[in-house]
Amino acid sequence: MDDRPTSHDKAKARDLAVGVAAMALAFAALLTIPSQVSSNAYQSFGNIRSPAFFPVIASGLLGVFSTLLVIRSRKMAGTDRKDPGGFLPSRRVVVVAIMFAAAGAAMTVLGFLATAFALIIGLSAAFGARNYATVIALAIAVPAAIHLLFRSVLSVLLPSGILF
Amino acid sequence: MLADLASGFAALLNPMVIGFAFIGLLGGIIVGGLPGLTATMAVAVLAPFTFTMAPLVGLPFLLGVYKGAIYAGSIPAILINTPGTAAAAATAADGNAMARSGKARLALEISLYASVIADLIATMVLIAVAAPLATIAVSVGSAEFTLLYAIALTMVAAVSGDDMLKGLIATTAGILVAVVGLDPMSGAQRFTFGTTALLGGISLIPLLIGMFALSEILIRAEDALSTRPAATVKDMPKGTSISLGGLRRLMPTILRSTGIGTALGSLPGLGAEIACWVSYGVAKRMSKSPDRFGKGAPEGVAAAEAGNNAVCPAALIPMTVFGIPGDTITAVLLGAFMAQGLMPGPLMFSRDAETIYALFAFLIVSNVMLLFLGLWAVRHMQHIVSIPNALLYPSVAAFCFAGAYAVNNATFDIAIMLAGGLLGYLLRKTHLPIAPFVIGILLAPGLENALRQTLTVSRGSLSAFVDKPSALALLLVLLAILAVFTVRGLRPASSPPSQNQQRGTEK
Repeated sequence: MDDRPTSHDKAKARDLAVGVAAMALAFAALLTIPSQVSSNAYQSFGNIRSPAFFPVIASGLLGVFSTLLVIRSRKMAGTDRKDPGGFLPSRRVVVVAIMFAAAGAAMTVLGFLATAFALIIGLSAAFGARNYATVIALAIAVPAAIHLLFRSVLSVLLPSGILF
Repeated sequence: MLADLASGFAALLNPMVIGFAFIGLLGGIIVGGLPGLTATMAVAVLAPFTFTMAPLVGLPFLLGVYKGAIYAGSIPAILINTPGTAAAAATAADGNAMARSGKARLALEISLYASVIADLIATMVLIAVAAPLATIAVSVGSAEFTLLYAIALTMVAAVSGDDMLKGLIATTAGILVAVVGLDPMSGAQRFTFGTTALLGGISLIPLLIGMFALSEILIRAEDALSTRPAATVKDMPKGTSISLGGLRRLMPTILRSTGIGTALGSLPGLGAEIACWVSYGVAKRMSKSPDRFGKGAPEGVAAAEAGNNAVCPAALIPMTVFGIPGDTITAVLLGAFMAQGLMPGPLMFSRDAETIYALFAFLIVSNVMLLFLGLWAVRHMQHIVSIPNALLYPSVAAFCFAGAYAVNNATFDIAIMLAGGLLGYLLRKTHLPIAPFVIGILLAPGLENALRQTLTVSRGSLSAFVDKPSALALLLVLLAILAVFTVRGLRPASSPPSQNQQRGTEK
């Protein structure tokens, strides 16, 4: 017998994960309301003037809906659903996400032009572009065009750093 | 109203306005014609460019991008059977069949004329309906507004995905994100964790750039992007043009689909993606030879394109009159309006009448521009649709970083964009719809103000929601919507998520 998880199992696991994550967010919000919004949020619940009035309602509703999703995922009928798709990101997605984070961190250190140049080359390589001359030309032209447009035409600042 | 519209046309007699609108339309056509770049992504990424412009220059530019992209989604759908935007999915069914049988030019021209006619009629409806509705909306009280916001959020949560419960989770999570910052009534800090940068709340445009553009790049990173489109597009747009008689025969289909698109577009949650399929389905059902549909029926192309393009002006009805965006793209546009200092809602028609009527006038003028640019696109877009995504996405990413930073010249906004990108990716992977989340963020301040105002006036009594007949009627509508969708929505989806949802594609 094949013990591999079916698409139904995957959908169930995914809904359960979403429900638990949303529930955790709701409880985290409810727990931090006294320190982050109003210390007497729960003593004066229902007080319209309290800044905690709306956050308590929103967090409470999120808690209710996520609990319902968790319950539903536990009771999901056995009818098979077509492939809901994998949940775990591929290696390329992780690489691209790391490049984004690195670019965000480097932007104010190296400046926009240098960081965008490196980002375009890195992403093009990650996406499988093999025409290196085109990629390098693009990595020079696009940041330069953006720089020209933002700084010269629109008079909007871009991140500057030690390089540009 | 006619005098306001005339002054709106006069305001357009400015080379800057027309010039930037032209660039916006052309940019929208190019973006919409590139499979993988969505209209929402384009508007979100380009919005920061407009913040230093006058509203009458920046907003026509963004509306041009929106309209151009929705129209041009049909070009790759017809030429290479790959919709440029999700709203053009139905167009591919007959459009590509026509192209494969040597009628690519005919299909592209039908798509263009259907789009322009539908957009023009829906714009007329918008102009005719918006101001009278705004006059009524001005006298609407806070209780009714609370219920209107609740209805809009429920509708969006119910119909944006296959699963209402997940839609509700996304909506409430969006509302929770929106409360970060200062309480509008007391000025107290909420969830700022001592960070000064969060006092003004989560910066909306960087968040939207992350959610729509960076997350799309992450989703597409799962594919092998270096591969070119499967079908060759060389020499495709040849063949005969559409005749006047042929266009006349398609008019009943175009007009019917325009009506469907306008009606669906004016309701929250039902965007161009749904309108194109409903219009296509109705056209097929009413056809004397439905078996031709899917095999190259011109009516199929006309119906789908008229349906999805009529949504563009129609979706602006709830946005301009009530400040309620119906879908993700109008949500991004609403953010751009707010960044320009305009607050969409009934008061905008008295406070910023000149601007709003100039925008309405632009919507009419843009159809003429779209017609000419579309005829250019019919001849030349086959070269653009084959640009590899492996070169496009890195360029888009560079624009994202520049745009996110440019909003407030703040490094923190880049962090918000990155967080938005990760969040958008996770929402798409877990099939949590993005539209309710974004619209939850946008409507939460209005909902909170209206709710607290209502309860303050009624001294905490919920009777305010049943005392007035108008409030009671809206409450009954809300309960009816909840009743209809709860039975279906609290069950898991019986059918698999649509292809677009699995991929997380926006229009």
